[in-house]
Amino acid sequence: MRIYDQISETRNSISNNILPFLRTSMNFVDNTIQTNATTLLLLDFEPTSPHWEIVRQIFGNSYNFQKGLIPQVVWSSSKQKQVQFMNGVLDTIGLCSKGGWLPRNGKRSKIRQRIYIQVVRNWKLVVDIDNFLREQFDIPIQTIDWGHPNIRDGNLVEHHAGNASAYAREHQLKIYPEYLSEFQFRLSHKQSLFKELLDHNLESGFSTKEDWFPPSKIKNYRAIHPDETNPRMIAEVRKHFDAFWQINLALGCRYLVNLASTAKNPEVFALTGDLTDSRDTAKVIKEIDSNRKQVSKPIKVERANAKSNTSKSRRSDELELATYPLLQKLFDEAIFQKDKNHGEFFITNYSTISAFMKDAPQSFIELFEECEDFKIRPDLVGFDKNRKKLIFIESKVEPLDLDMLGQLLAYCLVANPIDAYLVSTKGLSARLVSALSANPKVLEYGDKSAVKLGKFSEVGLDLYDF
Amino acid sequence: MTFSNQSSAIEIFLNSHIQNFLDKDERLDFHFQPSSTLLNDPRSSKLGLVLNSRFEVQPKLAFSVKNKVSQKSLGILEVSTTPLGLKMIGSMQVLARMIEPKYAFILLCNQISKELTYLLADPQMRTKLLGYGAGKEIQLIELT
Repeated sequence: MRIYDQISETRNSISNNILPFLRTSMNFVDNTIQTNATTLLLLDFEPTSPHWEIVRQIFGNSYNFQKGLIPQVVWSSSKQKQVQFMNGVLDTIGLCSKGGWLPRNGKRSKIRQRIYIQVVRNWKLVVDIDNFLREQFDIPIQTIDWGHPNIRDGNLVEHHAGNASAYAREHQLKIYPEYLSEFQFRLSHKQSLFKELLDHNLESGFSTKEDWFPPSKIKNYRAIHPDETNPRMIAEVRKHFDAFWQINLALGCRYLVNLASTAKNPEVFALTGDLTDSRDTAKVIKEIDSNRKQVSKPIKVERANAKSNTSKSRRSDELELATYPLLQKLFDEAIFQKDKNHGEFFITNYSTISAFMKDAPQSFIELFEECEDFKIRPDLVGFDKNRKKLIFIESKVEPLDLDMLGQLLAYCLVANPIDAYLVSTKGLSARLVSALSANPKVLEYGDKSAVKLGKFSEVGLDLYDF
Repeated sequence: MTFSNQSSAIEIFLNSHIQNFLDKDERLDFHFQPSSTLLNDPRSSKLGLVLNSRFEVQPKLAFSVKNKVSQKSLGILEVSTTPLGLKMIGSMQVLARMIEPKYAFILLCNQISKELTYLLADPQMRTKLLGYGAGKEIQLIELT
């Protein structure tokens, strides 16, 4: 077995392969940041740089990985440029792993290896890559594993095991390496492993060209999953699916759209994969609903229990936890006058704000879109709908000290809430009072905001003035 | 690299690395690990400071450096033995803002957490999280 030093090979490949390649056509200042798990390559362009302007023209508003698609200019580029584009895709989101094999009958082996292209969040990019590889390179895609509850947890196994969001990982396009041989990874360890997997498949003598398209008729139905309408997923896929290709169709896969147009009833085709079925759509839906109900009964998400389980694991913080409902009530009254149209406080200590938003109402997600990036965990967060701003509360049952202030200050520097409260049932430690009296500027963050410190009880909240 | 304890990491840093982070004409003058707040630890008198209630803080290490004209400057250091996260950055921010040392170091005996890595990759966020006034920045030092 060969072992790859991914950290050093990534670093060296960036220096020796990727940056020299990029510098053949662009001027920029580069910076590479690396940990054991992550490597970030930052390219800094002068604002007036013509190269930056070209990048902007190519990508338009598709400036992040969550929404960006393959730029139109790439679809109409020369084959050479399209290959370079795919090389970049493979370097960044291509995964070569011996764990991705399938049992298949070859002449000399029963293991057929696959390469994964892994896409985080960006649903439409998956279909884009699928269609791009098909149209421009005639490459078959073996299958697509969508991060959708019906596809990843079709029998509710993970849901029943308490891993309700286990499905919500990256989407994976799975492709046999023999169809990717004209591309090249510039990261050396990925290229070496790709070569290993490619050689294995070639030596094994597989002859079948497997492709998910055209799709098979649906024979087995998926259980109804409570997360099918999760607002974290884009609107097109917030519904039930019985086969992965139905998601491709819902997202506008041009191959499926064309195929559906040839069906006797395109609506029935979308439900069953049957091109020849001309029955009435309502009749087919009724039949399918009956089949789904036999697979499983709908399950309600027990959000309250989930919170309670999280709380149990933090027994040492029970006293602190007990303060949250009181603070929620106090602040809802004081700041929003109990008017939920104005805003609302939520207890968020059990997860990051980002994770909390996953289950938040759609109206919240639209108002507080930036919150999806906040991997921080204040005890309570107020969502001010009028001002589209956040309010943080950290609650303690010990006298407040500098470390507690540091924690909240860091949250504030990241998320810039309109207000931030650090409150305790015991007030402030003498040292904190002494230090802050000498230098209250420590409390400041953002533009003229400052952390507010206070003591609270069932009677109310007293804020300290520095 | 991992260290059996924080003190050995500090020792290695002071003996072999600190000079790389100081101005060219500066040398390490005095250092100690406070047993109480700087205001209450008697060794603080050797740091060349005018102590007041701002110094009701207790960094892991306090040190002074001296330049060619014997002018002293203050430095503080914290040690991170677990993956460095926002919480420790916040604690160091409070310390650094409070006493405004010339140098504020966090010695990493472990890696930077994934979330913090992403945050620090954004230059503006990096400045927000690490800057503590007048062009000064908390320095993250990985011993390799």
